[in-house]
Amino acid sequence: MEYLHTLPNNLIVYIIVAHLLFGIGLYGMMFRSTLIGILISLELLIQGVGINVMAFGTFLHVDPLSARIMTLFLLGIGAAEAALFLGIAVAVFRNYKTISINKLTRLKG
Amino acid sequence: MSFERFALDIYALSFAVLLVQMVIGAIMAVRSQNLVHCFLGLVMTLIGVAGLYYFLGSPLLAVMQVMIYVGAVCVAIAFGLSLTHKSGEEGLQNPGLRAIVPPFITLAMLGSVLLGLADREWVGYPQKIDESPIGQMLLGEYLLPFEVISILLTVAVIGAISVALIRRRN
Repeated sequence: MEYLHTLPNNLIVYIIVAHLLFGIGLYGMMFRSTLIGILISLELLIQGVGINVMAFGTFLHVDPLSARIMTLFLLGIGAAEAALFLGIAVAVFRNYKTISINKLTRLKG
Repeated sequence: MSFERFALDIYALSFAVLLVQMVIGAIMAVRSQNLVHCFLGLVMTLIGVAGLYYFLGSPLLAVMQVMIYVGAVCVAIAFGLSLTHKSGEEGLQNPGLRAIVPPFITLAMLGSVLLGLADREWVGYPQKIDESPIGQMLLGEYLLPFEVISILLTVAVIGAISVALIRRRN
């Protein structure tokens, strides 16, 4: 129980969790077979980056406010990217009747 | 056992539960066969990340995370999921030998970060600070990135609408 109490104040825990999210998201981006699945994995990846920035800003930097602002920008960019990705997925589905990346091969040589 | 001691126990336990919830949600989002289960796993992870921001001393970011991601992005993903649903296309490709690539990259990154941290001293710790100067900083020294982000969001939303409506217009 004593060890558990030091857990929230330990930078290493945050870093490991952030990298774990990044790795799981990377795995999903490589091996999911639909566009929506890839979008979900991409969101996980961005969350890992956000935790990393916030943890470093809190523990290593003397000015924690700039880390918060950086993470806010990251949230905004993630939202914009999700909106655009969903628009593209809907357009692709309307034109090709599928979002499986194994069947979207028109540009393949 | 005193009351403070009990409260500290609950605090630490809730942190551990958040970590477990995040990792389980992430694995569910990536490994599940059904896309709706993937979506639910994503929601679990996003709520866990919001809790982590709170533990890092920033209630503002926790609320923003819940509002932007759980409130807006996840609803958009749910709509996209239902608009593009076609059964029989979910699931994972067979990773094969390539499955070692993501763990390799992640371990390399983690190793280099820990190596860089080895001789650095931690100057801070998670504490609640006054977050009200953020608004003035956004309109002061961070004005240019702020405006660029707002333009980016506008362009992205207009672009998404126009891309999704191409076929319908003709």
